[in-house]
Amino acid sequence: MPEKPGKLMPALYGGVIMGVISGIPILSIVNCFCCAGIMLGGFMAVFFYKKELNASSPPLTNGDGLALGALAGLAGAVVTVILSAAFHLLFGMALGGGMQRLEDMGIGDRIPPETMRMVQGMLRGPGLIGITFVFHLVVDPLFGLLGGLIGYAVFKSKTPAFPPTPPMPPQ
Amino acid sequence: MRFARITYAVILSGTAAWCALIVLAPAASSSAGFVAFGGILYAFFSPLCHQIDARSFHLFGGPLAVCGRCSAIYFGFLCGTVAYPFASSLIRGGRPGRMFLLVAVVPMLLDVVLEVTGIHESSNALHAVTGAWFGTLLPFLVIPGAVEGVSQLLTKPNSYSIQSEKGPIDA
Repeated sequence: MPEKPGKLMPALYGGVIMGVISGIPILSIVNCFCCAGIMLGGFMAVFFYKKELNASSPPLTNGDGLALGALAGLAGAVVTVILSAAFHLLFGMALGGGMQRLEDMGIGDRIPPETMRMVQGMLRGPGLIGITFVFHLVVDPLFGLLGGLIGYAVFKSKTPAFPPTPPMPPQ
Repeated sequence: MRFARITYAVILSGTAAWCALIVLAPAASSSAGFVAFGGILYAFFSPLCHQIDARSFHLFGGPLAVCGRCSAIYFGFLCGTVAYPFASSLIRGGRPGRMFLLVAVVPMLLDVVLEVTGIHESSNALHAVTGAWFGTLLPFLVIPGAVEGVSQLLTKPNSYSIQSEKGPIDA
């Protein structure tokens, strides 16, 4: 029986797309639309995987979509953190601007100053990179799964992946 | 059947927890002693949404952790997930695919594109309606895919082909 192609490379390609969108400050605005950039990574991983399937390969399955989306999410989390750290070190851009957002919303004023200082301290340098990594390690595989499932729905072949079991022959 | 129920339970509880966090952000921010926690929740959701105050629904005197459209998508997804076991028989004629996805996403995309291009001025109500439409329909695409995918990943293909014939959740 023909083997399925490897999932690692398509997932990595999807992860790079996810990471580039999430890690570059201006591009990351795309994620403001219900994590569209993260879902696109999972979706594209399925697209790249589908391209590697040939006529003799087993068809694309939902399981492939799930696995590709989750793997792309893990890869995307790593790429996002590397790019975000680079941008943070080079240009001092804080990820997501969470604290600034709190100030703008007037919530920062209500947080006790010592708590605010503690949170701001956490969101600097290695702390920021660590928190970003943990955040993306949770969120990227979740939304990557969603993208992978949507990718399966779009790219699936007309014939079912697992045909019904043939009936028992007459005795 | 076991995988189907567990997968559904994980999706339902995860979605409920996600929506609870969205509501918890303004609730905590308005409660003395929990303001910092509320701030952390707002910061958590900040990479996922623009959180513009004027485009957000307000509760407990503060904006929800995500904008009106994102809130509608997430709460719509929760409603769709709750309704799925009762309503999935309506689309049992065929597995949702590209056409279903288009029906779900086109109203929201039109709203976004027409607003961005300045052709029409959208409102929070329209953001919410188109977002909720997409969010409510999405589980009907995602849940059967997730159930089938998890079964494929955790069981042998031959044993799965028997399960898949019986339907999505009540397999």
